[in-house]
Amino acid sequence: MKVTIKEVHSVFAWSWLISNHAKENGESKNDVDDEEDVCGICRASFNATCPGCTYPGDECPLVVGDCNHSFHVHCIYRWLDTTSSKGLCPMCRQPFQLKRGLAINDSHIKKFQDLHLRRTQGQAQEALAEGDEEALGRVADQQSHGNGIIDEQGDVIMEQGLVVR
Amino acid sequence: MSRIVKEYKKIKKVLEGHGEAFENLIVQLAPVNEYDLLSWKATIRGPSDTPYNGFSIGLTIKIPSDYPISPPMVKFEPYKMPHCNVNFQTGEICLDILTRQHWSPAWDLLHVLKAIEQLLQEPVPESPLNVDIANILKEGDRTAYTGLVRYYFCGGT
Repeated sequence: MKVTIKEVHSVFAWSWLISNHAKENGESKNDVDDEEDVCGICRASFNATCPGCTYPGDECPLVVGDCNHSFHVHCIYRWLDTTSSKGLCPMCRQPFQLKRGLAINDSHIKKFQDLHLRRTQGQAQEALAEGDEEALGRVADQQSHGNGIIDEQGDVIMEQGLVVR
Repeated sequence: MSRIVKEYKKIKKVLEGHGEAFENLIVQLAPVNEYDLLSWKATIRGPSDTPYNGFSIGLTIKIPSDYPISPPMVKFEPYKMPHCNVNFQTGEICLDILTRQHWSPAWDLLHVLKAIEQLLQEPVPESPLNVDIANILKEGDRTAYTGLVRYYFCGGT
C-alpha cells in the first residue's frame, strides 16, 4: 500500500506546567475538585484567564507561593491588596510570598514586595492611630518574617515603627 | 463575578448527583432567580443530633459584587431562628468565617452551609446574639433548650 501525504496541519496546545508542580507536592486532583486544576480564588482553570482578562497565557500568568499554592497573579494580588487578607494565602493561611528561583515568579517579585510593604505600613499606621501596641508588635513581626525578604526600605520602616512605639 | 457562575454549576452538579457530604444537609440552594446570581436562598435540614432535628431551616444569601474577595452575607430568613449565635429579630449570624477578618476567598457557598451546620451542632454561648438561649446553654439545661427551640419552630412567637 502506498500512502501519499498531501498536506500536514500542525496543531499546538499549551498549558501551564505549574499545575503539575502543585500535584507533585501532594495535592492530588481529587483534593480540590474532580475537575481540572483551577485557581482557588476565581475557580477558573489555570490555563484560562482570571475573570478580568480576555487572553490566557502571558496576559494572565500564574504565580506560585512558597506554600506551593498557585493562583492567577491578578486574583492573588487582588486578595493580598485587601487589609482583611492579612497577607495570608487563601488556601493554607500561611503568610503568602512568592517562591524564589522560579522564572514564572521573577517579574512579579518587586510588585508583591511593594504590596507587602504597603499593607504592613497601613496596618502599622492603623495600630498607631488606635494606640494598639499589641497589634503594632504583630505587624512588626509580620514585617520581619512575613516576606523573609524585607529590603533596605523595609528595615527602615520597621525601625520607624519601633521607634514610635 | 464569574466565580459565582462557576459555583452555581458546581452546586447544581453536587445537588443533582450524590453529593455525599451535602445530601443530609441541603434541601435547596439556588439563586432566587436564574438571572441574578447575587441573591440566593437556601434550605437546610436541622442536624440530627440537635434540637433542630426534623425541621427545615431557611437562609438568604447575598453575594457582594467583589465576591469572593469579600464574604457572602448570610442570614436566617424568612423564619425566626432560635439559636444563641443568631439575632432572633434580624437573623444575623455570628460566625467567624463570615466576617471580613476571617473569610478566605478559597471558601464557597457549600463551605459556608457546612460551617452553619456546625454552628447548629456546636453553639457558642460565650459570644451570644441571643442571650436567653445562651444562658440556658450555659446552665447546661438541654431539655429547656430543646423545648424552647421546638416551641418556636412549632409556631410560638
